[in-house]
Amino acid sequence: MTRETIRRWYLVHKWTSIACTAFLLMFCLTGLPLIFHHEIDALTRAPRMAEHVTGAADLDAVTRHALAQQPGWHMRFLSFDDEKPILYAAIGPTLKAREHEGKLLLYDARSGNPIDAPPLDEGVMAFLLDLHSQLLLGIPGQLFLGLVGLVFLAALVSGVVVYAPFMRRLPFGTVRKDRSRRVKWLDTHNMVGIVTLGWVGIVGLTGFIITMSVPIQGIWQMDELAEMAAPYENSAPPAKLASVDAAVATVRAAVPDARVSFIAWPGTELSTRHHYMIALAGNTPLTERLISPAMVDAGTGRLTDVRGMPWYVQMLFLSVPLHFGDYGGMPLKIIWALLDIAAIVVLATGLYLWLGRRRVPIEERLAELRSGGTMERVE
Amino acid sequence: MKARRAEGRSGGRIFRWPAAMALANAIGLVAALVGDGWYDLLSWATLGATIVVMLAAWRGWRAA
Repeated sequence: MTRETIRRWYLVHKWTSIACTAFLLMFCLTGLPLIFHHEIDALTRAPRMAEHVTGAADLDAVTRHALAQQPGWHMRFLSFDDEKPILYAAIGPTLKAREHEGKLLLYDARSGNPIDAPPLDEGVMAFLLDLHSQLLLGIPGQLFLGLVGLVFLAALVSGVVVYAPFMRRLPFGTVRKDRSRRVKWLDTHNMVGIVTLGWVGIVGLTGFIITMSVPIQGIWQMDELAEMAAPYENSAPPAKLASVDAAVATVRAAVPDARVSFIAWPGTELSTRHHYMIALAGNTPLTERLISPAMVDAGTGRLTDVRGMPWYVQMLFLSVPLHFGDYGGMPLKIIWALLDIAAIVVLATGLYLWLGRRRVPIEERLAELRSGGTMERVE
Repeated sequence: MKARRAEGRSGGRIFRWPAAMALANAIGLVAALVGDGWYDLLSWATLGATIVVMLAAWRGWRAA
């Protein structure tokens, strides 16, 4: 690497890092409790479930009950909790209402009785998630954080590039504590940064992919949903919807080994104006994340199509566990938390190194980089 | 520090261990996604090793 190349990469690392450090600190600090979101919610605001109930709720009755709570509103989605026998009914003033305009009602998936539970979108954890994923600014905030994610990936790549000249004379994992404080934190920054690179890279990349969920959904709507709606181009949406319970039974009969995880009503953003979209999940740890939509004609109740999701939607589905670390039990969550703290160490030491050398000429800073921190200033 | 030549270590040597760590991380991240039981165990071992290496390096390899 020539001196000029090193200088350019050093400046890329410096400026991209400065641009995103504050956001990354926010990600790491809010992300730490969010790793345990499920456990904290279960301890503090778990819905009380009736015991010794068997059977399966009548989904049409649940729908009628949910809509009776807000006359004139529309049923949007019905989703099944993947652990507990809970049904979440999402209703809204319009079919394409935004999340915060609507309401989420909880039902017992066995009896169909309403469950009295604190709303899922309130409380500390919901606030932290909103801050972490959207800066409290809705979809524009989410897209902006996607941009931050791209800058962060550039900071990672440039960090790896400038790692090479610095480490030319140092063995892997060197942390010199017998020198100045600056050398100690510089070594710590490099060591922790390079060791956690794989994990940080994946969490950063999947986080970026998740911020792109709205555009990804948009592509799917224009691509596959439009294709499924095409045969109905000249017909009006059904005036009276077929039974959703019967629609689910039809899908279960056609695909017996799949689990119904989610139902989208006709006219919502996850279906056409003519179909119930019944999302099927598999039974293995991998396939339970990969949803296949089964489309049921909402007028006739006939199953018209079951297909896999395109690669870009599957990539989004797989990014969620890889970002949140909620797919390998409690030990994985603890490891996730420790690696999150390691990332905070990299951010804090990076900030310290930058603040300590702001007034020093760039040539001197580059000499420090090329020499592996051996050309120390007298401090 | 034996190899104290003027040009220092090659890129291959500098990135040998970091590449091994990144590979272990990748195996750990994917393993728990593919299956349960042994796969989870493999995931904990490889990702946990990252933390062990980090702490050992910070203490100093030879200090222990």
